[in-house]
Amino acid sequence: MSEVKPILSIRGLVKSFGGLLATDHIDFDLLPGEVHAVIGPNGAGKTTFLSQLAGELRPDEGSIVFGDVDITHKPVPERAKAGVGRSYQISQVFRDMTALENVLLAVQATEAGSFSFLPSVFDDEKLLEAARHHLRLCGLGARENTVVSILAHGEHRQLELAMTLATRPTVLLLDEPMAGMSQAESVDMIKLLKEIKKHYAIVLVEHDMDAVFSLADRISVLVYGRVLVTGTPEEIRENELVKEAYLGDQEEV
Amino acid sequence: MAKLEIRELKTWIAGLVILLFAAVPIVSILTDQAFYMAQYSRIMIYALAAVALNLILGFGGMVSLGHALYIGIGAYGAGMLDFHGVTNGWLQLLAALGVGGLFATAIGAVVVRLKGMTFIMITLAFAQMGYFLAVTLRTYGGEDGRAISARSQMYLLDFSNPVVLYYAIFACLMATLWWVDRVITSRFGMAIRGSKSNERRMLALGFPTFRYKLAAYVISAQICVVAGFLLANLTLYASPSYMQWMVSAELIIMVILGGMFTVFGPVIGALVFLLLEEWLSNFHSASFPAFGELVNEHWLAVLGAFVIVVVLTARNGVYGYVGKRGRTP
Repeated sequence: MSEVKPILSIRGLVKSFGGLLATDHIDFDLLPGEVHAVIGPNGAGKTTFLSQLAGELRPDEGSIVFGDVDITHKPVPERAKAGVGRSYQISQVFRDMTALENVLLAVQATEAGSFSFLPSVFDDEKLLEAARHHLRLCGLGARENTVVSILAHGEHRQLELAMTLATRPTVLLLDEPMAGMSQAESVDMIKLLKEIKKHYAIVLVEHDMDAVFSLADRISVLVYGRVLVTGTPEEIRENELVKEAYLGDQEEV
Repeated sequence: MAKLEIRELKTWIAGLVILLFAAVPIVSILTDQAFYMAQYSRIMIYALAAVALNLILGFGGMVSLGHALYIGIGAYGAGMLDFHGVTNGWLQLLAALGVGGLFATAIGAVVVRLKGMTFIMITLAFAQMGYFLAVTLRTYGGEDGRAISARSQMYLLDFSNPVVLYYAIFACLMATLWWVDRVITSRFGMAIRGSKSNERRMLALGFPTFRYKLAAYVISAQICVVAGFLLANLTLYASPSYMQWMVSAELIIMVILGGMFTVFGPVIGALVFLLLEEWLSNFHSASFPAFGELVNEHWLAVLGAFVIVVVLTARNGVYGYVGKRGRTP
């Protein structure tokens, strides 16, 4: 399809839960530097697909190649270490810790190992500075000492992005980063994602069509676990099949 | 400001308790009451085990109902080797730590993958296996256990002198408290706390959480082995009763009673629990002898009621309660 070598290459991916074929022979490429959005109606298998890329679910068939390495059967932490960063539909943060501690742990994850039993992480200026940098980047600079459980929902999304970026990934898997956000928060998040998209290749699962069409370089439409069509935002907007299967559906709602 | 004062208050309480521990042998000698020294030796040994348990329970979210097993292993290390004529305490301790390390690694490799109720039940099951194994060891006294002929020979430290033994226990407790206080803000401690808080996120960040949890479990178990070794030296006895599941449960109660999100809480928990046990089981009432007898006979029920009241009114335990009151909403 393209002469550029994909950074993430998925071939013939299959995952079924009992009788339900949640992922039905998906072929999918993520090119360096692109935002490849995955859209589709509820229950189309978007999160299931993403979870297989991150390693939380093992596919029944098919292969996932990251760079030159087949990661189909690699466990989650190994993929993360290799450069696959993930954010979740429902924020997965350390609710009982401060915002700074959350990102600190993410920075710590990039180190060789954590078998250090005495020096305090709070005395490590390099670690602290890296954590603060990512907090500021995601607009949480003023919140570093706030316990995460009392942060607003939108701030949880920002924090999760800060943590994901702090692990220094090359590929980002973002599962509905705009979920549950207010209009204003969404606008901010889109702005932030536009800024960072230059540095990462991103798989973006999102329901917010404004976000998808303003961020994505390519869009794949998932229906019943299959890729219906892949194309540029313009191609998707004009596609009759998509209108029928998905966009039309939305307008009715 | 208010928060600072609370922190200072906590430091004061911890300091006073440590001072109390340090002063007991002096008071004991001055008043010619050897009993106090034995009593507080025991309190500090259980405090040591409770602090170790809290490392994985409070900070790691792993509720082990089987840590008495490791106290038992430590005690049998002294007891069994003494029986075979090995009185060198360092050798006894080394053997106990070796066996304890093997058990903890094998059991830990199974249990740290588990969560919640299954974790509790499987740790209990393993500890019960250890208990019944000890019961079948006829050579070493079976169900009754066996007296140890003499205190371990530690060469530079003369354990046959109760004051030396007392301060050796004191030093172990202080060293452990110092280390736990440091480790919870170290990289290792952060990894453990993160795994408790949100393991899914830890994995997605790239932490192989299994190895950190296993290491924490083994370290926690090994400190209990040391506690067991000291206990056998205090009582000059090694018996399966040291690894009864009741002991594991009491350790959990000490942790919860004192405050499981604090480093020092379990020490307060052990102190309060064991002093209450002593006081209630010897309870006398001059004016109402019948009442005294009632408490005497059912002291466990009274203790239980006390634990319930503490847990319901101060979810962070007696020591944690001090900090809770000052917290701004």
